[in-house]
Amino acid sequence: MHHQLLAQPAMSIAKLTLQAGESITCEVGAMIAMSSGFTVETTSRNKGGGGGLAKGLKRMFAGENFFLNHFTATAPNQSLWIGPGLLGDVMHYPLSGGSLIVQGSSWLASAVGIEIDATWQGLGKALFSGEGMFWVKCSGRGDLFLNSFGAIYPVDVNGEYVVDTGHIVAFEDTLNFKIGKAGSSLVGSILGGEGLVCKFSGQGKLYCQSHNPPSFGKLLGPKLKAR
Amino acid sequence: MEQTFSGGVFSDSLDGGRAGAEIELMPSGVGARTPDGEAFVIPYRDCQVEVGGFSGRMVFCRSADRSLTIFCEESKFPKALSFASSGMLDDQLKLGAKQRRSESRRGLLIGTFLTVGFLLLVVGGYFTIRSGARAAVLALPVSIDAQIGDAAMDSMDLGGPEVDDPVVIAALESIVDRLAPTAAVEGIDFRVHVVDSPEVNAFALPGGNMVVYTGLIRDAETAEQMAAVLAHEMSHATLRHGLQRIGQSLGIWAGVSLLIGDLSGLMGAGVDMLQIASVNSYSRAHENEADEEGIRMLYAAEINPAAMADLFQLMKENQAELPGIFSWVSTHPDHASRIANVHDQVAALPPRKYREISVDWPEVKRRINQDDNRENAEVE
Repeated sequence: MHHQLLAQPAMSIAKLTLQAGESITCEVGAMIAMSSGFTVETTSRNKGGGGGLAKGLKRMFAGENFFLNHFTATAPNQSLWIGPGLLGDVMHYPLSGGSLIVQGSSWLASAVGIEIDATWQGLGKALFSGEGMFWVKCSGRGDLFLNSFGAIYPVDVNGEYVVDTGHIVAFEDTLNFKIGKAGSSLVGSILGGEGLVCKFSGQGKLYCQSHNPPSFGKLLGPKLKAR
Repeated sequence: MEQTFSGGVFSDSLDGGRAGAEIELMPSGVGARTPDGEAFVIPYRDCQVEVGGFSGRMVFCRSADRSLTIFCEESKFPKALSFASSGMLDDQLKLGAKQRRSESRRGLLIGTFLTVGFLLLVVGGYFTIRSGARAAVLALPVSIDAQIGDAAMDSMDLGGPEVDDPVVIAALESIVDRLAPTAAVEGIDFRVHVVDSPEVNAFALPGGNMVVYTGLIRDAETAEQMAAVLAHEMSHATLRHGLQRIGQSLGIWAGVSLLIGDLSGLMGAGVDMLQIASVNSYSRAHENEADEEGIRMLYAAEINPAAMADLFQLMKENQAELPGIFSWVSTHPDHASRIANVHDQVAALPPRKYREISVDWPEVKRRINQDDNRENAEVE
């Protein structure tokens, strides 16, 4: 499979070129356009049989869709265009063993060899991380495509690193984070508009998004006319 | 014994700084082989062990200068590492495991604390609003009672035509007038409506509207017994039982709106609820309160309160004869103990001279019966 990311970072979409017999699993609604030589299969299972009802429900809790779409090329050089719902970046991550922990709604597509599962982070993190209650854990080998709101920037963490809640896209499983306050005093942290932050520790790659949907929603919401 | 595990390696020499790897516990040290064939080894004596990662169970072995890290998440890895290193790394592994346990305990504690706190807040908030709404209802001026009561009176189905016989109305009004000065709350305009119906019943709406059915007038043997009924119903109004009931029935949002000073929820709920006459029954506690207050009013108005007990007794007997008739007493629960209570309260009052009510009660009853006869004649 060949991939190309276009119109980065504000309106990114991914163009994937698949050879006959190759498959990719996409988020429901991610497909923008495609060549005619694809079969599309919609199930709650991972391609190849893993998962099912329980996994589908877990994915729903993680902010993803109950169903998955599997696109399989039936002819050579078939192109598939996929994109996220929100304005923002798309990134490619080649997963080679190990796992990537992805924020609830950031998973866009992955190769067939990648297992997608929802994982619980503990109550404190669920309530205060500014992300979903569950995270999507992607493990295995293959290409993984993630989307963000705004641009994505990677950070190589070795030691500690602090990210505001709501700005995490994904991080490698060699990292862990705790919820903490931005400053030394909680009141100061809240008055400073930062409130709680995610403090990462360990070694590995962390991907952050430049904007976060809740802040955007708060700005936009009051300006919308009531329907 | 050599064992292999799946894990990964961090090294600056790798493209991207990281690769998945097969971990091997060799006699010389922890070894890692990437899929590309690159091999790394950290001797056990140089190994710095850390436990962490997303799962909190990942074991990291770092070289002395930290330029190379081999990591593995498999559950059997720590034990195998301890065994392969001949116990050299046990202290570091134990420390890591201890940290993880204390962190997960702390996490669990905070989680439990937050959950309990949240539940307490929700439950506490609910009851605060409920009791706050009840207190706010009672702090409202009496004019609200009248507004709700009048609106309900206008729109409710009374179950029969109103009687406008001047003798009957005047008789009941004169009893009300005699009792009114003894009312516990000033500013209530008591109005009595007589409705032609065989029901042996009477009820009060908030704000002073009272409805007496002709069935009850026919059953009452003396004007004093009717005075007992009216004193009881007037007590419901002065004790604001109607509004208390509406306050209790208010939904949580109506309660919140009441607390911030918006009366529309209360008015809506009140008028809706009171429109159905048959639900105009009060709780046992309210009935007992109204009995007690009624007795006080009768006594203060120099009317013999024993009439109340007499009436209860009478209705109990009549009810036995006519089971199923919707009667004033039957809507009120547990009347045997109620009669006993009334007897006790009357007996406890200091003796005083009672004045008769100057109403020609037999004439009132005759008028009611005459109306009935006339209606029957019309029907025939």
